[in-house]
Amino acid sequence: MNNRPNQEPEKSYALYRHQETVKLFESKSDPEIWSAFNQGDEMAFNYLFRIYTPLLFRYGCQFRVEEALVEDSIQNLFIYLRKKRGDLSQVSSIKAYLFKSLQRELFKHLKSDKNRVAIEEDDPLINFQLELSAESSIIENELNQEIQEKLKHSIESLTSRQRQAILLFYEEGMSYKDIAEVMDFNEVKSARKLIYRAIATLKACMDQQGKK
Amino acid sequence: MKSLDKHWKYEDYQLEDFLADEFFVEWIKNPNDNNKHFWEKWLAEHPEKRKTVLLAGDMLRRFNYKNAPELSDKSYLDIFEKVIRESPQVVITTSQPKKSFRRWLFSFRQIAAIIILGFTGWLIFELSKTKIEEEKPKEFFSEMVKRNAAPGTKLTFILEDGSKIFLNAGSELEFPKTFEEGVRKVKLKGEAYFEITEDTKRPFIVNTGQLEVKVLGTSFNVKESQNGELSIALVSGKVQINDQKGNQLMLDPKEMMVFNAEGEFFKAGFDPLEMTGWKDKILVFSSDSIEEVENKIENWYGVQLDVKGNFPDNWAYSGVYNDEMLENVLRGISLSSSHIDFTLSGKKASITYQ
Repeated sequence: MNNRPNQEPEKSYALYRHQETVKLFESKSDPEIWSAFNQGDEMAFNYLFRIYTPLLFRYGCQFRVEEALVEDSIQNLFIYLRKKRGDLSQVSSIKAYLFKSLQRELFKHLKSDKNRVAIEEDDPLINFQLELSAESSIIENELNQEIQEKLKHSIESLTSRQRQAILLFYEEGMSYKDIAEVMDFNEVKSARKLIYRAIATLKACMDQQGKK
Repeated sequence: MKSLDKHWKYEDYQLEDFLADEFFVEWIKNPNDNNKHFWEKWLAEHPEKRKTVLLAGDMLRRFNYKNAPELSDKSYLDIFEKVIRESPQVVITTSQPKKSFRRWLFSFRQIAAIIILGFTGWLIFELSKTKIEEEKPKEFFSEMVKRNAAPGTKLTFILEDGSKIFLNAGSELEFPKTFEEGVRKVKLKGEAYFEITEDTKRPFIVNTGQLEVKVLGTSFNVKESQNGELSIALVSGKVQINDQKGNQLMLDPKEMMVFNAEGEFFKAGFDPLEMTGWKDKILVFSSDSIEEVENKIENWYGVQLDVKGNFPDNWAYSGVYNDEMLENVLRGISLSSSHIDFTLSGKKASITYQ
């Protein structure tokens, strides 16, 4: 699944505007881009930085840590990767790899900070807050409003791991394989099950509300 | 759920099955030719599923991060700069002096740009030979042709032997209408990209005034800067370079040699886009000072650019423009800082830092 984001021209990142590097790489596969980066290709680094930094930042902030810590972690991650060039192993999904690495970096900092109350990786209340966007869509469905109301109530019954999986799947456009990597599952099957369970929970909640 | 079982077909899918299907989610979130083709066809075949499919699409589109802060431009650039400073560019070459190298390591965007040249002792020998030959049979020589690319224009042309020349703005190439027998010789001022047709019997020699480059068949860029720096970037083929001190150097593809005005040289990798992008109408700024930006723009667009106000000493600009109008370039630069404004009217432009 190609989960690289479509370009959003309204983004104002100074370096984001110059799209030629992006054009050079956007048709290439993740392993090709990664291997170019590993071989010291600065354009490949530029591409990775431009595409993934904003996404990493948004993802890192889902753990409800200070934004500055997320920024530092992104910085450390890229410094580490650039230093390791030539020695990096193959990566099949760059996004999953980077997300996972950022997560590790974040938790490393959190653990080393003794003044901080430990934040659980799976904090049911705060991590990965999910929201239903209100924007109206292509659907010409009179049930729309009703379904939306039900959905809103239903998402409250999801665990934070389920919310994380749902967001990775729908918002980040990741495959089950990517999700398994990011969430440290040994098997893709586990990611699939997590999503199924989340959807089943949503459905059950909605059905129940429907009966009322 | 049905999609757990591979034998189920899409026509048996319920709402939750669509919601859990990777290929379906991909179509909704990242439509491309492949998934669009399938799903549009499939929907046409299964109008009874239309409502369910649209509902599933609508639902999954609505799941969003509640907390989605955007990285500020300032933080983005801070991180970028720190990453670059902390982790030097990987260097593929071996023979550059440390001093000049360090400059590259710490340059902001550090896509090293410069190149190589020199000439072979063998070449000098060859040259002295050619010179003698040149003087004797002058009247038999083919008529010399001069092609000039005025500022703001670029020229592409084919020589008699089939070699293709891209002449950058503000540059001049002098060559015979018909090459003589043993050698193909041209004179360059400024910058040109050469795609030389292979001819082992007639080496191709580029004379820049201070140096000569000799090749048999290859693609390379030769650039003589106003500060006396000369760079040769080899895209393909092979070039042998000897300087006057007797150093002998080989240039491999993707390497470049830079000679400064004092005759010192070093070898580095280069970014093809930056070095040769100009031939494809790609204007590249790489950590350029305001003077470099001014020179590039004046030459590229054939305009007069007035620089006003005091640009900070450490001001540098990086950017890539593919066949863009001047206005867009100026706008791009002005957007890099809230201190920068520009004006443009006809052949006159100004850029102000305040």
